[in-house]
Amino acid sequence: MNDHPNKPRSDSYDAVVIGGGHNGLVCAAYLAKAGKKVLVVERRPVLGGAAVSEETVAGFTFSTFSYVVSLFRPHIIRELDLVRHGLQIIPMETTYNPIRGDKGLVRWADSGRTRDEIARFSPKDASLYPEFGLAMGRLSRFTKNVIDTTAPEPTSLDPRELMKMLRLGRHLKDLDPEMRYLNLKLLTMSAVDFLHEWFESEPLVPSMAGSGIIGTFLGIRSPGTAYVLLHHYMGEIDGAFRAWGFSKGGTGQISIACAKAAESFGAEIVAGAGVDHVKIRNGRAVGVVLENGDEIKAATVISSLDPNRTFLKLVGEKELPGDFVANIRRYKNRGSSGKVNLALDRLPSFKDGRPDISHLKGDITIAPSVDYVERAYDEAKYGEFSKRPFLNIVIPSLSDPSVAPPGKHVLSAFVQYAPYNIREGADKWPEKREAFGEAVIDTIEEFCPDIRECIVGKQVLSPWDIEKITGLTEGNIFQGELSLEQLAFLRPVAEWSRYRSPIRGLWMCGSGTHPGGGVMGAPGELAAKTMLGEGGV
Amino acid sequence: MATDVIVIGGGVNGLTAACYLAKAGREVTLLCEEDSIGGLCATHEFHPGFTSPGVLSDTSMFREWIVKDLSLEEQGLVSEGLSKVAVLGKERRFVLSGDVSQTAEEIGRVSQADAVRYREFAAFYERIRPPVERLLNNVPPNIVDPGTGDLLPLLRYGLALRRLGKKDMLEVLRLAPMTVYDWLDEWFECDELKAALALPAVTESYAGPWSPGTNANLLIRRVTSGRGFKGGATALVEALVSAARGFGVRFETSTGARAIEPGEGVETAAGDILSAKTIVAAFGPKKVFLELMRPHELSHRLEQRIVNFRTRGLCSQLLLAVDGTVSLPGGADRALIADDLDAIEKAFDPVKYGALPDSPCLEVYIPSQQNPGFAPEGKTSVSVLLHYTPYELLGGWTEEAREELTRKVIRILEERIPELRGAVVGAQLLTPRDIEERYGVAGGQIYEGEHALDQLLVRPSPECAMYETPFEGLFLCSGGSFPGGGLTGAPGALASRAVLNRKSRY
Amino acid sequence: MNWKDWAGYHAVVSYQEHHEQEYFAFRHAAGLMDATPLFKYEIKGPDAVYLLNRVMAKDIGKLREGRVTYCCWCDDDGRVLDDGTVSRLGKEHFRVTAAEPFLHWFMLNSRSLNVSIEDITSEYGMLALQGPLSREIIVRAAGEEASSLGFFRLMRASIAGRDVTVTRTGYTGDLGYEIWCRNPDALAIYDTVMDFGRDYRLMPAGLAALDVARVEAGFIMNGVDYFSANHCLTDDRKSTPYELGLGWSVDLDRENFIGRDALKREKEEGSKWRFVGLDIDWDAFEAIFAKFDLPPETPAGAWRTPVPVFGMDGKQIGQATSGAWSPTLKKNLALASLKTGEFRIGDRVQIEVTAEYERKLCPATVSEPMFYNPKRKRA
Repeated sequence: MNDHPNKPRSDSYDAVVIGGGHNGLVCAAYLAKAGKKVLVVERRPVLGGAAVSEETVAGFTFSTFSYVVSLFRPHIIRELDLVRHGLQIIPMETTYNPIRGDKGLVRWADSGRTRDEIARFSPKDASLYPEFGLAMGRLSRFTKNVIDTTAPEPTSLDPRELMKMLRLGRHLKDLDPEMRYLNLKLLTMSAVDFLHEWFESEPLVPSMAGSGIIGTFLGIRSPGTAYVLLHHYMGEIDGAFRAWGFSKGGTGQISIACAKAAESFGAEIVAGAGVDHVKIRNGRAVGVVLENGDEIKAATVISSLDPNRTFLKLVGEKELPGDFVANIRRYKNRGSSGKVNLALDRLPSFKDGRPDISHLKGDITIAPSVDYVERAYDEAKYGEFSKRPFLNIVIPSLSDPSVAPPGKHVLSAFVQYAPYNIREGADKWPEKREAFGEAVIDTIEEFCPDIRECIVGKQVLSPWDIEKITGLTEGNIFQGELSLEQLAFLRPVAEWSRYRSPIRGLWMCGSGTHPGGGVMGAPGELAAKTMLGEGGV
Repeated sequence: MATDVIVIGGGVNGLTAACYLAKAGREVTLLCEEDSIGGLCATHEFHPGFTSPGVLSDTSMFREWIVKDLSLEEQGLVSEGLSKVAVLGKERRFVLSGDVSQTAEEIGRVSQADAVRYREFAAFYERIRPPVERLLNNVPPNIVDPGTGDLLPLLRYGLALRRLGKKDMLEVLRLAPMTVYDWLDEWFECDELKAALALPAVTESYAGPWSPGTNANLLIRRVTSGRGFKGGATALVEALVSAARGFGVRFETSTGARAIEPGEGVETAAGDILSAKTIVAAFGPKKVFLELMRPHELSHRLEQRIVNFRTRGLCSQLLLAVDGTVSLPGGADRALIADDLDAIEKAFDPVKYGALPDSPCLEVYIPSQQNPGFAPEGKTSVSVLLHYTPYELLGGWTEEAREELTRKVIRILEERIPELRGAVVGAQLLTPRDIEERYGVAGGQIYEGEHALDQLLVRPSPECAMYETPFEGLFLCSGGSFPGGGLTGAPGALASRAVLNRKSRY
Repeated sequence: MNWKDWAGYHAVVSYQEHHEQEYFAFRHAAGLMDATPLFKYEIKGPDAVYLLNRVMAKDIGKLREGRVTYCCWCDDDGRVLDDGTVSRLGKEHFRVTAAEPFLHWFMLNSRSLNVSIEDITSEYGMLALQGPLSREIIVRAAGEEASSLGFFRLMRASIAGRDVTVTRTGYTGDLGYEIWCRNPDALAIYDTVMDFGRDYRLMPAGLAALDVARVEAGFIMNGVDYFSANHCLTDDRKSTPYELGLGWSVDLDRENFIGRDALKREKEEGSKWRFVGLDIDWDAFEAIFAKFDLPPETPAGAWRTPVPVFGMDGKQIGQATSGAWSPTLKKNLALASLKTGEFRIGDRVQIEVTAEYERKLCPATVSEPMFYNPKRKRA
């Protein structure tokens, strides 16, 4: 998929989308589908942004950054016909939490099996587990309404806005009081406190809580981390994990499918063409200027880059109101995670006494105890990477043989915490990278003693590297922390949560807008639909 | 014995509720052991001749409208002027007070920029005070199961918020879930200043400055802080007691409550039955439901919610008998020792694992400055709140562990308050466990329930959030109810409102 | 042989290709079924009665030692969570069965109580010996004492030299016994009972035969005729004991228990639903199929796909949740939940029937939900 030209065919478009990540491409596809003349410009030669697959080691396809598909909106798959364009999602069915010298804890799609697994640690938790899934399933029906619409604007007196708040209110009203109370707790509590209201057993609580901290600079005991637990239950009612999956051929295939869909509707895509700045005339965006100096005219410019990069680098402070700049400056990016991708000669052994490897096909969480994960955070708060980090490991080659040569494997470890701002300064990351990678492999080695013998190639990515490669400010994978004060009508900043910006003709469509990060596609879609609805393009 | 209302628990909230109810013409009996009058600010002698002011001593958040309603000034209660807190940094020292210009001037000695920012900071809170105050000084709207009666107040809050204008309204919505760390970092550069503003707010919960939601606590503090009283909490309690007597409250101080029979009355520890249709409990919800009632009386849901109400005490109190006088900078009677926000966070880190911090952050209070009788002539009684200490210490709260902690704290104090050097003649340490035992607060949590966002908005549980309980005639009025713990009097006053409104509600 | 998953165990649906022989064994001789997957909890200690009284809708304090009772338990709103039996093995020793895991429920409700709660599901096996000749077999296997074991009583005995508890209970609506034993002993006990039963035409029986028998007996099933309140996404899906015909098992006049207030209110105000039996008019049923030139098609076994039930005026008044062709009664039966006030016992209603891909309405007569109730069950 590196066959995109680096020069556009024309010098004038209805809309130019800056950035060829999945949100930019989704946005472009919707605009093109509506008949607009659209150009996508991507700085890297490869499309996908943080949703990219690359053959970093010969024969091994790494999903370099984003490694699982969680909440990609099903209606986008339908509306853009992404399956016809090659998208295929392979469900992940297990969650495995290894424990040294033990079988560890596996949660299966099969509820009876999961019950037996949990019962080894706490019969009470095992018995209660399905009820938790049910409660989460009920709540996620409400949350879906939030994700799939633009954020309400509480200060507005526009009847449409009031109607929307009323509608949300109605959805909220449809929940019973018990669920509304749970919703309040979920939004404000820490993952650990929230789970402790239900469960007591060590491997279960950290294994579930781990999902609450991914991509954030918070610990599992930090208030506000409970909310993400819900994402695991979206679309599910029985606690199985079918909502999560691998994109066949790597996460980049999602972007490729989106690109093909966009092209099928007539959008044009150029890659290897970075944007130097947004051209602004009389307070209005009129096009972009590429790094090579070429100028492209466009009635509408849409940036899928993060707010910091969009406004402080491509637009420039002097074009913007002071308040807005101040708000963008205090918008928190805070990269907190790194990535270690390994090419493996063979499957390492998890020394867990389990008869086969079926439990390794899903996600493997290194979070043996609540304290372990919290300690990893405590270390990072003061500018160190965690020596014993929380890891979220997947071995996609077990489900998708296309990503590695026969018999060989790809292991991808998402690592937390790796603060962007290390004590020595972010630019010292290149000197720390090796030690960081070793800390990760040491951690894996505690559970897989033979991991080192299996490694034939590796890629270690610090948040500094993530920023360097993808452009994500501070390497934050969600284009900004998903904390309450940066969500909904406050994302990215107050008064500008509706994809518009203070510059007329300049719009936003990245994860830095509502509903936020993750490979969801929702910001791209909602931005496009808002623009089309409001005559913005 | 029969009466209209029994108030159990004689802390500030119990006394306030008793006053309001008696003032409204109810026949009120307050049931509380003599030495527990004052609740968390009940005094006791911790060293011969030296008196402890109790764990809660800051009266600056006691509501002025309650003082007015109950005419407490007639009982001799006098506003003290603006309370002063000395910030004792390693090098930098300054005094914060309720007077903005004075404080800004003080801050100007360490940072000119921060002095300017502080004025804006104070002005911001002043601007947003009305809607927040309105929320905190009324029976909370039921946000979990709003009935038609709740929609109007909710709408009014919404309108009050809107009246702030777009920018401030969005700012209020943005700031509440934030961490104090980020919020204060947006405003100030001086580490000691940030730490001093943050410390009182973060220690109300199981949280450090890095914890989201802590900024709501700061907001509440900033908006509700007033002047405080001469003579401190002791004077406040005395005024409330004499006001109560004036309103005709009968004090039953020979015994405490052993069991509650809603609608019937209270069984005392002495084994007597006190009958009353209405019981107002000024004890934390855990004590009320889980100790004073039998499990089968509770619904499964209520029981689980109360069990899950988080009451993890993380604060210890060290009482020191000091030979000699101690004076703090600027004539303050309080001092804070926390050098920067990270120091507070680092003091919080170890307690999560059951350990003690290397350098606890300290809130020092010298009651004998306000209450000369608290220490013999020429000597000083000092109360220090230690943040943070775990309820359950790894290896247990052994004599050794207590001594080591005491020594550690005295060492820090001697460094910052030179007059203390070699002058400590007696010390008593109250760990969260001791506080639980002495004051009857679950988990030793001195706010009777952590001030986390969910526990502030719905406190302690949806069915009890508006002071009523699922049990006819049983009401809650401790700090475990809205708007939370501390010497505010608000839960007591608002609960009495709920009691008096009950007829119209049914 | 057919298998299916039952609470994480492989359970036999039928030992033969068709379950009919096994069904007839239950009704004419005896059948032996492995019911081990039933969830089993042991509750012991000074506060065991207190706990059970708090959880159960029935007054367990009244249950005497050596007796078994059938009861249900509810959530705070009086909606049924599950139903099962409680056996009082000793003064402070109970055994509870459940269709679903409920360990957490007993544990969560035992705060500050002096009681031990243990999940013995995988440590204990249970064999259901059911049918008119089951008494002869149990007497030969467990001793003469078993012959006088009364309905819903329990006794301790020895089978094949292994300790067992025998209860006179069952899910077939006929004379029957349930044998409770330690898991490792189960196989030997099974073989011994089968040996003794040979002369009485005892057959191994599976779940399919049981399902037909329980429909005839009018026994409700969790997950089929009602859903545990813990699994319902909406309140409408939940059921109360009164709505399920279990009102007789609710003891309201005692200290508070979970759900009491709501149940009291319902008892005073009346229930929304009523659980009933439907006897589907055979001639009409036959006629529907005759129109397509087909013989009447009754399902091979019990069915459990809910179908709507209408009044004679065509208005929907409820749903039938399970049913079966009764080979003994020669009747086409269904169990249904109908809205109270829309019918009376004995009324004619209409049930949806699908014939040759077309939906038709077939008349049926509403009855109490108990089609088969031989005297010997209790005698």
